[in-house]
Amino acid sequence: MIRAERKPVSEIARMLAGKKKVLVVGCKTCVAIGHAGGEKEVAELVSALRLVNAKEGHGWQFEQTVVERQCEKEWVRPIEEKIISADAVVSLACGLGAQTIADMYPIKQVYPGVNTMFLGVPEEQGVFVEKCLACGECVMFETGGICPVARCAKSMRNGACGGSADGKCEVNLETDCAWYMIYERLKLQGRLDLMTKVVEPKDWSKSHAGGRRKIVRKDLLIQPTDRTGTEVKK
Amino acid sequence: MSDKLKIVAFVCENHAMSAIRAASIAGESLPESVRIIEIPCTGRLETPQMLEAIGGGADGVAVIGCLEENCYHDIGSMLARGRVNRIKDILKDISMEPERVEMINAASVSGAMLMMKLRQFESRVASLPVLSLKGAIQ
Repeated sequence: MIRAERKPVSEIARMLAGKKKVLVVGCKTCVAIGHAGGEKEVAELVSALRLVNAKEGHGWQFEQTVVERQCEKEWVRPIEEKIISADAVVSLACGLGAQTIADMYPIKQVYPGVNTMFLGVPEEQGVFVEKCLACGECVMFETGGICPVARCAKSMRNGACGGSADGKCEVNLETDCAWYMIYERLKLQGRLDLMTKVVEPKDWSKSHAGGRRKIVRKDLLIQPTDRTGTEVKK
Repeated sequence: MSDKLKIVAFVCENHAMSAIRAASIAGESLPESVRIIEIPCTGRLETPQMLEAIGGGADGVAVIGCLEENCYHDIGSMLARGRVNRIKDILKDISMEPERVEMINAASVSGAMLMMKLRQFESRVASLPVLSLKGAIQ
C-alpha cells in the first residue's frame, strides 16, 4: 500500500494562516491502514489545530470528514458541498487523493497534511518498509519473489554487489542485503542456477524516469462507435 | 496552588483505579487539582482526547495505567505510552510544554507511590507558565 508520514502540525498551521473555514479530509484506504491519514489521524490533527487556534487566535473553523478512497472521484463527490464551502482543504490522503480533490475543484486551495513516502508493507506493529518501486517492469519471477529494484540500495539486477557483510547492506547496516535474501530464497527453492544468469540492463524508461506514466485499458473504456463500428471521439 | 491548577487524569479502571482506592483507604487523598476520568483501559485513550482536555482548560493531563509488565489488557499501557509521547511531540511542535502530559504506571497495591507521583506531576505542571488560550475552542 501507499505509505505516508504525518506532517508536523506546525507546518500545516503555517499553511493555514489567513484562512477561516478549514476542511480536513482523510482517506479510509492506504493511509488509514498506515496510521497516517485515517479517521483517527483526522481527529488528532483537528484537535491539535484547535489547540493552535486557541493559543494563537487564528479564527479557524474546522470541519472534518473521511472518504472511502480519496483518489477516486466517485468517493469525493459526496463531500462536494463541504469542499466548496471551505476556504482551505487539508488532505490527509496520499498525493493521489490530494490531487484528485485539487483537480476536481481547481479553485480550491488543497494542502497536503502528509508526506507520501513509498509503496510498502507493515513489517511489524508501527514499522513500515518499502518493497516496491513501481518501476514498471516486474522481475521477481527470477529473484525468488524478492524485488531487487526496491530492496537493494543500489537496485542491482546482477547482484550481489560484493559490499554486503553478514547478510546486511553496506549502505545501511540495519537493512538486509536483498541479494543475500534472494540467494537464500533461490537456494531454498532449488533454483540457484538463476544466480549465475546474466540479466540485461533494466529499461528504466518504463519507470518514472521515462516521464509521467499512464495505463489505458481499452477493454474498460466506454467508447461510442458510429454505424460502421468506428470509434467516435467523445 | 491547587485552586488554580486543573489536571485531568485518565485512569484505567483496573490496576490504576485500584491503586487510587487503596490509597484512599489508607487515608491519602488525591491532589485537589486532579479530576479523574475513569476509562476501561488506557490503551483505548486516543490522542484527540488528551489534546481536547488541554484545549478545554486543563493545565496538565495524566494518563494512569497498569504497570506495563502486568497490564490487565496486556498491551494497553504500552499503547498509551506511545500516544502520550505522541502528544508530547505535538505540544513541543506547536511551542507548548510537553511536560503538561505524563504517563504514570501503577500497581494496584502501590497507592501511596501513585499519589506521590501525582503530587510530583502537579508540582511540575504548577511550575510551567500559565496556559493562555485566547481563541475559543470550537
